[in-house]
Amino acid sequence: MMPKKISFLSSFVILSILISTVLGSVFTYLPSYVSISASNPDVIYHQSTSSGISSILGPNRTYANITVKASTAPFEVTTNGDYSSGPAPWTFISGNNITSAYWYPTLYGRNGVILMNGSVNAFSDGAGLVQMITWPSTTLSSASLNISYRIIRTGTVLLGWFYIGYSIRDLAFNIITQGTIDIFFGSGDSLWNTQIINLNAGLLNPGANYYLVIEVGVIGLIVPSPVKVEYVLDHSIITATPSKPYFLGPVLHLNTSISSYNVSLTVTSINPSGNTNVSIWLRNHTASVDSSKIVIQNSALINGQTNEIIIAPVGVGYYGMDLMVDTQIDPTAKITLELTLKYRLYDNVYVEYQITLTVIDPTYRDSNTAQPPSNKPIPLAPFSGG
Amino acid sequence: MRYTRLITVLAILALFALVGTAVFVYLPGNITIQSVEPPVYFDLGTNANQADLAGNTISVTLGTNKSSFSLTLHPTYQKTYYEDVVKIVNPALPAGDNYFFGIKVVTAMGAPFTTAQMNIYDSANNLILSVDLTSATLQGWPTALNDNTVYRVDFLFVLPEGSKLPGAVTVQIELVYSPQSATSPP
Repeated sequence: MMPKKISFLSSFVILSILISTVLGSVFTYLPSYVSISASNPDVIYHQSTSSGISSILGPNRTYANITVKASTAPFEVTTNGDYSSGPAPWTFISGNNITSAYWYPTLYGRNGVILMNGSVNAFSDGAGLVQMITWPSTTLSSASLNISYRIIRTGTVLLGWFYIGYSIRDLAFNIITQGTIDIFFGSGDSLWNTQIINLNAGLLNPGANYYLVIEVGVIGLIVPSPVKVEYVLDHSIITATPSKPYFLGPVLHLNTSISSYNVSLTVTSINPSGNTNVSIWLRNHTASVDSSKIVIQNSALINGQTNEIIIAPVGVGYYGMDLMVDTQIDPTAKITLELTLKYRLYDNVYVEYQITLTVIDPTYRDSNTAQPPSNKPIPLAPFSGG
Repeated sequence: MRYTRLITVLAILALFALVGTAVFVYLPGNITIQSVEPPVYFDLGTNANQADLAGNTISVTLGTNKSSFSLTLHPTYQKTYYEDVVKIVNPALPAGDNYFFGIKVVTAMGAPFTTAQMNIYDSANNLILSVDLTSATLQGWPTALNDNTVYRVDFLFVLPEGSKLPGAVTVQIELVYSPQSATSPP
């Protein structure tokens, strides 16, 4: 039997603890609502039509599994040099009289054609078709420009020469090398012609960016009234032959429909087998802007992230951004990379997509010719670089 | 006569019985209700009411007294992250009022999202609490919310490629706070 005093004391203590607990149990509830209204992806992937690429896109075009086949076969340094997949990434420098440029799915019996035209009465005028190219970083055994063209002049020409030529310029638009492809006098139709011009690769720095310009125009024109002139191009392709298994070009295209974003790329894993060298970067063709490069040298990751560049909505037939790859690997070598593409509005509101990229050395190259994107003419975007 | 007398007696007894039960005792007590300004409140994050994906807006509305918020986000496929949409504030004044809090998910969201998180960070970018918005439970209780503290609220969503784009869904949550941590909130 507990003494009465102790029993009273312990009861008091227990009661005090109970009271203090009850006094502290004040809870305040702040109600809130988070509504999630999922949106269709603004940025989506498109398959590259470059030769040597095979790719599988996810059903919502937010995932890509790409295989790049590096080989010693001749490859295209230009992108879409045969204009088969629309006007991208070619842009147009307007003249004073030669002011119009359109891509046509079919024209004058050819598929995938670019037409530059105008009504000319100036003594001289010039316009150009432009594409930013990256010169191959590997040793080349040959490099050439293959161009197919037709010039049609309608009207009376007293005197004057209509020409087509080319130039390769640095990014400040200084001429590195140039040449005349053909010159026609007076009125008439030149019909289709094809020329192959060997390029002096020694003038160009491996891995550097340049502009290829297909230049058209008129010199010394004397006419009683404006003359209609059409410069029709079926293709303008720079082809190079590497001495080791090599690939250079866009492996994936991206477009944004509504908003502009800052885009960057990060390597999340690397799995090489044999000796591989890979550079990966983002290119905004219409703005002539490249990101910094992800670099893998001798199968070791040297730089695992690009900086950010902007993707913006572009016109029909163009892509807002390309994923570029320059790779040289030893025979039988292979490398698989997991990449995260991040596009960001500002202050870390962002979306991340995944890309699996594998580079192999097959003994063959696939032919992957794309269908034109539509059956209507598409105006070329104006050149904004230089 | 006999019956009349009997009825009179019964009537008097019944009256007495009624009066006998109608006894009330009143013990006086005083309850004073003194409302105070909310010591913990929400505020807009730096990305509140800024542009969201695909031309939308990160819409955030605070209640009149900042003791509630409603927000709308527009995530897309794969991983979408929203940083600093809302803030949780325990201001410097009044001084010394330290609290504990948790987040109660009242109505959760589900498929096709595989991840839906409300992540709470301190000013040093340390993750304080990650709330799973797909689980209708009280989470993180008791997490410290000390005097003079501002927490940043981020959101992370993962919508797998190939799933059907879901319609709008609303998650109801409650921030529960208390000056003590010994007892869990009911």
